[in-house]
Amino acid sequence: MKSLLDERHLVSSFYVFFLICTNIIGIGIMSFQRDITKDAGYDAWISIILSSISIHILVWMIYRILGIANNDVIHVHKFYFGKWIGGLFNIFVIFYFLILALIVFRVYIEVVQVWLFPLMKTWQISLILLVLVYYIVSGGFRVITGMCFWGSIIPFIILFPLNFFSLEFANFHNLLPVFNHSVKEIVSSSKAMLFQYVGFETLFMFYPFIKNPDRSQKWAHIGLLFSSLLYLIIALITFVFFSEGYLNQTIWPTLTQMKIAKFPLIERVEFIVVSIWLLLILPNISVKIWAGCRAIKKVINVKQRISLFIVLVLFFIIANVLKERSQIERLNEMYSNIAFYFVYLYIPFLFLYIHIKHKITK
Amino acid sequence: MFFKKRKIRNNKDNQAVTENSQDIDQLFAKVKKSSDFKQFPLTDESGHLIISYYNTLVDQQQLQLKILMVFRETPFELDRLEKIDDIKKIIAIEDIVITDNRNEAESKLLKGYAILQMKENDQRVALILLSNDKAGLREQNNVENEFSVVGPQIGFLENIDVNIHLLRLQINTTDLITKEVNIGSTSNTRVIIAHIDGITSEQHVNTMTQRLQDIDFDVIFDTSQLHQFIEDDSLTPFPLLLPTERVDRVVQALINGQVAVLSSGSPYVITGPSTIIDFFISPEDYFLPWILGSFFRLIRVFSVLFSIFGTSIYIAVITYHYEMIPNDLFGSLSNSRYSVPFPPVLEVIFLEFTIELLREAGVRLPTKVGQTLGIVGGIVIGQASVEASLTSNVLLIIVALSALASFTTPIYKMSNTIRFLRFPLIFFASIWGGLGIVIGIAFLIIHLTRLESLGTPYTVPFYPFRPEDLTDSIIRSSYSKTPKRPNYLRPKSIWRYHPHNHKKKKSDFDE
Repeated sequence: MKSLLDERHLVSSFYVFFLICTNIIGIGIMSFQRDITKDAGYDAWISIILSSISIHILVWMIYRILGIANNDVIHVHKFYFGKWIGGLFNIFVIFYFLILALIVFRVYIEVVQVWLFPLMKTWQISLILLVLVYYIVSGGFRVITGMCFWGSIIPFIILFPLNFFSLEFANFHNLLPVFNHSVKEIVSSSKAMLFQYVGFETLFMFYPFIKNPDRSQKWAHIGLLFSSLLYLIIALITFVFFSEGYLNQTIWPTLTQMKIAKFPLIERVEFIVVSIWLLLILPNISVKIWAGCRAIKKVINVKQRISLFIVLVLFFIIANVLKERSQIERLNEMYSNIAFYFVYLYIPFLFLYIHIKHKITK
Repeated sequence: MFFKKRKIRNNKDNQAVTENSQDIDQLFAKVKKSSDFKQFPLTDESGHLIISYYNTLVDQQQLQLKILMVFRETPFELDRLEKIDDIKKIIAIEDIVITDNRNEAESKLLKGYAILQMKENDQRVALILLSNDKAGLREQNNVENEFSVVGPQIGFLENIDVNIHLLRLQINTTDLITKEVNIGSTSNTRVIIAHIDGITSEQHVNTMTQRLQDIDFDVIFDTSQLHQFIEDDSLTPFPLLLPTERVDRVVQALINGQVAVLSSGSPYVITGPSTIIDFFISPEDYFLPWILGSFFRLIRVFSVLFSIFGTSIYIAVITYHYEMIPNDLFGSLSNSRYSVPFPPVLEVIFLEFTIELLREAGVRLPTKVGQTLGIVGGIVIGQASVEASLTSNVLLIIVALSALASFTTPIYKMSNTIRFLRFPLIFFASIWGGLGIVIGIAFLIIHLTRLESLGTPYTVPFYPFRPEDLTDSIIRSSYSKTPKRPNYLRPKSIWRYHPHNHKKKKSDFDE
């Protein structure tokens, strides 16, 4: 398997772990508990496991699809669906990645405004963050991967242990009784959980940038496993800390439970948490924007420097136009529906289609 | 590209000159304008056996002993000297060049050679080495700026031959290759690229040589100038190659598979490719037991982090996040800031500026005055500014500590970088508080990830992550754990030495 790109731009297969982790764990990990408990109550930990399994299968499918083509999804679309239908799919992919990045970006700004600086203007924070994103993405894929690496290690070391402080007030009976929700409820909660995993599809774009891509599948699955374990642990801590009624009133349960931590020199760690969380959000947005710009380049042959600039200006404008929380929520809901169909219908369809085509042409 | 084009043009100019004036007499006509140029016949017969040299460049003693004695004291048989080539038999100096090339004669004359002609207007001349290259240079070669308590105290000198001698003393193998290039259109400085054959990757040597050859500049004073020309990226406060005056450091670098560049007239040697952690390694770490060595290295890394972030965290917490201060601490903090009328940012900038002032002044002043100044600055100004309610006590402690902490960096260039990095972070912290600091950190991380030193990533072995090279990075592992050269330098042979395998036979306690 020879790679299409210059060796200098490639990253070794080990980094797929960090790429997958930072792409999955973005904004959702601070607030997913409320969404998944809406239907399944405190049995929702089962739905985390279920959706994780389904995503594992999908990642396996993506690797099969890209392994046959040995290129990214843009090429796959063009090659198997022709110029027009393929082009339509490609435009959809571009928007899919960019809007996902936009949602993460806008929600993070909202968190900053709610938790850190209530009076901060959106344009100030969005401007400086977009400058940062430009600096990352213009460095190329190696720099983005580097940011993924640091952006998963530093927050993990500093933030993850803070969750355990709330165990002091844990009430383990919250978890009991187990299995007192119907299968339908658990499935619909799994559907809510799916949105937390969205982002792993950027694999479609960065696959050609991996050295020995066929060996990287192991790391992709480990990364996925790691992030779903993280979701599971945090969800379980939340379930034993909050009562169900209280959780329904809490928008950012993870932040609230981290607030419990107290040190002799520092109180109110949420200021640190929200700030350091930026290190996780930055690569998360950057990979998606990079994927979008790379797709634009491959579809209409525009220099990435130009397309990146235009995309960031659009981000700036849209982030400032979306003022109300309800607007963001609506965009989020709409997007999660689209993502659901893209992930669970389109990826298996592509998988089957390409396999059949491949068999016929052989 | 820019440099290359200029170089080509320069070459053309030079060629034009040589074609026009092949004549050696024209050379003499030019140099005679200088008062220190001497020209006279060696024998009584005028216009015969003429010697010419710069009085200030040659060694007078050698001139008298090896040349004047031969021709003047003993009755000299002229018939032994029929051609100029015969001069080698008469004069007992090893480096004699016979040439009729005017350019060679000129450059050698300037390096301290004497020109000997059989007859006036003879084109074919002998160039005799009489140079006195040690005159005027420092003799003491104690390490001054990268001091260590344990270990050798030998540093480099301005004399490049002595420096190579120092290297050869420890790298006692024929594999130590020195490649010489001349840089500087006016200074014509000797620059030597040293590497160990069979260890250093050819790619590094070639890159370094190529970049050095592409330099077009008039006078090279120091290797730190070369450093700026050959860096991968000049838009960075970080030094991308490591300058050092310690011999053991350069030897260590060469042994690991790095390239060293020495320049005549400079006591600093630059080695590369380097990584960021190289700048926090002191040779002393290797002379102490590994546990202590690692401990001090960790202290160094933490003190650097503190030095960069100390004051900006103070600003962020006092200005925006005062909720973060626990109750017990709040009392003492607010007491110390009670009568300070300024916002924390101004307070910090005032104190940081004072410290930078003290440092800059301390460097420029003579040593004895400098010490007094340190005491005056540290105690008097500090205490007075607290009493005058210009700053708070707590901030004074933080600023003093972070200044102290930045001195722990073994390499001066890096401690300058750390001095500088504080200010953008202070700026970010004063605008966006804790988030601003993290924005600064993010900028820093991205910047570091983008940097390369001779094509090698600057943050290796962390990113790209090389677990096998981590044994000698933040932690200095014991010698039995570090027998291999770092992988990221792509050395041609990976083993440095083979540690004895005294396997522990006992798997249980002594019974």
